[in-house]
Amino acid sequence: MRVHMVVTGFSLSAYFLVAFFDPGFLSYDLRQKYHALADDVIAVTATVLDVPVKPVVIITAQCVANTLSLELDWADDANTYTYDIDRDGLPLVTGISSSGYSDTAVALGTSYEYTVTAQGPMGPGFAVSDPVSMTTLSVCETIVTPTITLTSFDSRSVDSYGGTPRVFDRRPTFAGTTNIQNAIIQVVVGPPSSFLSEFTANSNGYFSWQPPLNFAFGTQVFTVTAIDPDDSSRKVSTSLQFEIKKKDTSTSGSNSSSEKKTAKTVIPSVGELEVKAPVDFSLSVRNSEKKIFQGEALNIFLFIKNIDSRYHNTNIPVRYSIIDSKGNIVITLTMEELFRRGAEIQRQLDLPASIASGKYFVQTEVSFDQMNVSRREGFTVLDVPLLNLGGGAFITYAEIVNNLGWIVLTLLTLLLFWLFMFMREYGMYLQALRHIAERQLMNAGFITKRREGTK
Amino acid sequence: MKILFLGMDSITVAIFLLILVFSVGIVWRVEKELDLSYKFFVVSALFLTVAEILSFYANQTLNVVLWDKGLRVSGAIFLLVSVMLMRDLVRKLDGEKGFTKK
Repeated sequence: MRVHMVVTGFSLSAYFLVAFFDPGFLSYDLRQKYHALADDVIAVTATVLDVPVKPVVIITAQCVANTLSLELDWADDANTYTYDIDRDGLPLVTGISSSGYSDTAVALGTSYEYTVTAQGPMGPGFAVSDPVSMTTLSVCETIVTPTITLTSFDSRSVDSYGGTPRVFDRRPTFAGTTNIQNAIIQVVVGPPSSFLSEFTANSNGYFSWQPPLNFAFGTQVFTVTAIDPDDSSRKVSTSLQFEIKKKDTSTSGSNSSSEKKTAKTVIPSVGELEVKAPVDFSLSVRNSEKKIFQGEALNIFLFIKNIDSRYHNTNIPVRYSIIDSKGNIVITLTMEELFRRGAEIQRQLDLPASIASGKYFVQTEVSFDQMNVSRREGFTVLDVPLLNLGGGAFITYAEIVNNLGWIVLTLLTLLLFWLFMFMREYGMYLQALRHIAERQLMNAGFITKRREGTK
Repeated sequence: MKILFLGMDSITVAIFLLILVFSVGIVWRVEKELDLSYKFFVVSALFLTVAEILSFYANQTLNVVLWDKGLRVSGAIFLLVSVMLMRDLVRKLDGEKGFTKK
């Protein structure tokens, strides 16, 4: 290394010494190098995609083969990679590549409003359709069979992978949809390390999940089960086999040994994965309506339903995380909790006053040797209201800060007007005093009529 | 709806502030019993204005509510005293029995 630096330094010094004494040499040499580069013909073919076209959505209500549905359709667009659909302001499905969708998670004679967002190379938000509403048919002899579909994996449509999805991201996001509203979603991923998670889908049946920790490298199976919250026997599952790739597979040594390890791992086929968690617990947010103001405490409640006898009555580290709607961890802390069968654990997490308002999740994880058991529950952070106008109307700190300029200007104008009125009133009072005094002086004869006449 | 509520509340406070200014103007101009009556009226208007502004505060803790209600009650009492003094003055001017001008 040192020899290399010395040789390079010496060569550069010699080069610039020559250039110093003969500037023509330097310009000649640089010109030669430029032409050597410029003479090479490099053909680059690139297709620059345009911004996605705003989808124009057409919806038809139908009942085919005892299945009630709303059929969404819009034109194909070469500039769009995937589409996201929101129903009544909540995600319905994300990452689909087709230019249409059949929504079967609907009720008879109910109106739904849809917006379709086209996601292109420029990212989201550039082409959002106008909201379109449609009411389902009021008569249809429906047989509702629970369904579940995994729509996207690592922000790409599952269909677009064409086989087993292979990604570098060790914490890819899985998203899907079920026709069971507010379904209990159970996720099992493994092996070699296992992830078990339980959370709730939204009222549209949409769910998304990101592992709390990095996946191990190699092929694994993701199994998701949607359970009807009102009838636990009504459930449906689907699986996806995927692979986490290493970015640099050319190096030898430790990497190759770990590859060998991965190769030895028995990979279950899709649908075979059955992992029993050593602990079964529920997580709930106890704040009223799961709504909390910025700076307030989040009340978390854990109930240990069942625990393996090996871990019964022991202190286990539990990681609590607050995750925003984009999957970013905002707050995380670990506490040791005493795990006993039937125990109730209550914790308070203080949210900072600076946290942005919006939808969040609280995630609780318990990690065992090769297993991560987690639960997730959603809640909403509201802006702290500063002024109460009554009837549920509030003005928040954020609104005041956003319009501070106008507010200060208006208040200043009003204050000046008020001071002006005050001074005017005082001036009128002084004038009245003077008139009274003049009238009294006139009555006493101190002011003549001549003075009155000259006025 | 929020803008409507905000506008109506702002108009209420602005009118209260104008009442204050004009009442103070009357206090400066008049004397004796009318002056006293309007002084009470000014204090009443002041208390009610502050109570109105306090009622907008969203974080209605016990202290805030206590101040709000206390100011409202005091404002109502001062308004009553002011009206009573004015009533006595009018009865005196009318020469009612027991209220004759000395």
